[in-house]
Amino acid sequence: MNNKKLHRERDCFIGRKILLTEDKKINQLIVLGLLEESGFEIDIANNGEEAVNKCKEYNYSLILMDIEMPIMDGYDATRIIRKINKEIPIIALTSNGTIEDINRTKSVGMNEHLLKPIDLDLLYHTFSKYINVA
Amino acid sequence: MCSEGVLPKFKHINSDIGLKFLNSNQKLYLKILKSFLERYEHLDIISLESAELNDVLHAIKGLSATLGMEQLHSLTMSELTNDSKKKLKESLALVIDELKSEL
Repeated sequence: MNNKKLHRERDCFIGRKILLTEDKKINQLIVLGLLEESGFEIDIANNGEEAVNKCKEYNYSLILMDIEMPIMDGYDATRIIRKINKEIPIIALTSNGTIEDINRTKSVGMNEHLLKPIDLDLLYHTFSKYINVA
Repeated sequence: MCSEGVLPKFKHINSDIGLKFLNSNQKLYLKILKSFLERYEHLDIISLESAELNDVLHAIKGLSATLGMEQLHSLTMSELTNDSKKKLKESLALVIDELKSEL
């Protein structure tokens, strides 16, 4: 991502709080490292159940949602979150990229399906699409 | 053993791919490689039960793609058989040994 664009978007994202739902610490480190200069404040949920509970306590600007997680997966977490919040953007961030996977994330109410390895430009494009920067 | 912050020349890891996916952030790349080593250094794929094996393979599939471990990644994409598990174990061992000696 070019620096000018990053700085412009960073200014828009400063102070915004997003939720990263990811059970693997190493994947958490990757996302936190990639978004280190994004301006976002990033909260972490280690599984779907934690994500649901955190969403009850705080109105996040956006949720990044892994799919395969212990205790509660990303599909069930999204179904529950959608019952309490229909507006919050939920972005699947997963290694699973078949048509069936993509259809399933859409059917439970996720807005987008992004793949790992993370395409940082696409991730920022998705943030800009769903986060009102006005 | 690499100097602090200097990227070693790997034989079984394509660092160009790894750096591309980590936004050319060498410090982050080394940090994640070290974390991969710590996490999987003592893993024995052959001894894992089905549910745990699926979980581990799912994680390694994503990480190997991100970190440029091309051979390991292609093996995680193939159908799981006793033979493929053996090949996975060997490929993971090559990566782990290299990380141990270079990081």
